[in-house]
Amino acid sequence: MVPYNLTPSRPLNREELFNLRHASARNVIERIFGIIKRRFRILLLPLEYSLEVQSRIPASLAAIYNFICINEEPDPDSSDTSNEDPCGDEHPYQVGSSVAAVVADAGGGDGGRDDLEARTMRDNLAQRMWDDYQLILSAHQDLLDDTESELDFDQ
Amino acid sequence: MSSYFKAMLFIFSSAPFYTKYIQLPTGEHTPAKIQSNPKFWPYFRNAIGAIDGSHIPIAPPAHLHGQYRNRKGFLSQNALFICDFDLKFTYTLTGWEGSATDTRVYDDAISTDLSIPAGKYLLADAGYPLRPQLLVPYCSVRYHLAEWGQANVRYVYYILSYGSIQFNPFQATQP
Repeated sequence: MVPYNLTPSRPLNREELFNLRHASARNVIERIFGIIKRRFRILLLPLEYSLEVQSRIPASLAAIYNFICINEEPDPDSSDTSNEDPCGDEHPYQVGSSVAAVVADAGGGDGGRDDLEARTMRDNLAQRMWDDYQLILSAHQDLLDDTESELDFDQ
Repeated sequence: MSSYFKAMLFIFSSAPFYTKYIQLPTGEHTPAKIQSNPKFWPYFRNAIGAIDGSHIPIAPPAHLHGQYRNRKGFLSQNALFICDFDLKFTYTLTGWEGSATDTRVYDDAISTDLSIPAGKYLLADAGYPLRPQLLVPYCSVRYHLAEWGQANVRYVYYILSYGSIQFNPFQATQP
């Protein structure tokens, strides 16, 4: 009997880990789109008003949405936090003390070297993330070894 | 009826209502969702939200159909939204033609009324350029991964080589 195993694989480098966490943090915008499109069906069908009126519809609804959020009880749509988390794991872990230094990377500023600066910032961030991830993984190595030997046994 | 609709629409999309309920964060406080999650903290501590464009159907006059037709084929406006990590909108720019790219809409926003505090940035998808104010993902990187997912890729090969009917493209393409 072969186990039907569709477990996603683990990130293998800093870029993959960075993208995974980035997508996880960024999913608030996907969720908020889902909520307003479900709640305000007017966003799905165009109305034959002037273009100015039509362009004000999404902006108005965004303001109304915020108004509702602030003034009402938590909404069942938005309180559904069981949404898919691309990181897909619930393992709590502690962050090593080494991570505090990363914040210095995120300087602002502009000029002709914007691209390079942004690229460097992202690389530093991803590298720090990756280094910490390796520490956490090695701390859990025992647990992982157990899991793998279990799988071998099944086969 | 129609005139009331328009009147209310203008009220909701103008000051003082709009400006009271849609405000960019000042960046003074780190979002709780970032701070409380070791996957995000402290890496994303300077993120003040997420940005994305959404194509919203629109009905323009016939001679403007070309401009408003987006690459998915329907008539739309490309509306730019920014939200914070508490699921609230913090910025909108609506009314751009559906044929406009996300980058073009963003450039319009940043050159007019969108201001991002120094040292802060927004999380954006790969449709946006890499800028100090925009943190975008790396290109050409595998996805559908999990931090605690399958570690031993060879294990999957082993199964495949024994004639299993299962096929996982993400794992099977591993070197």
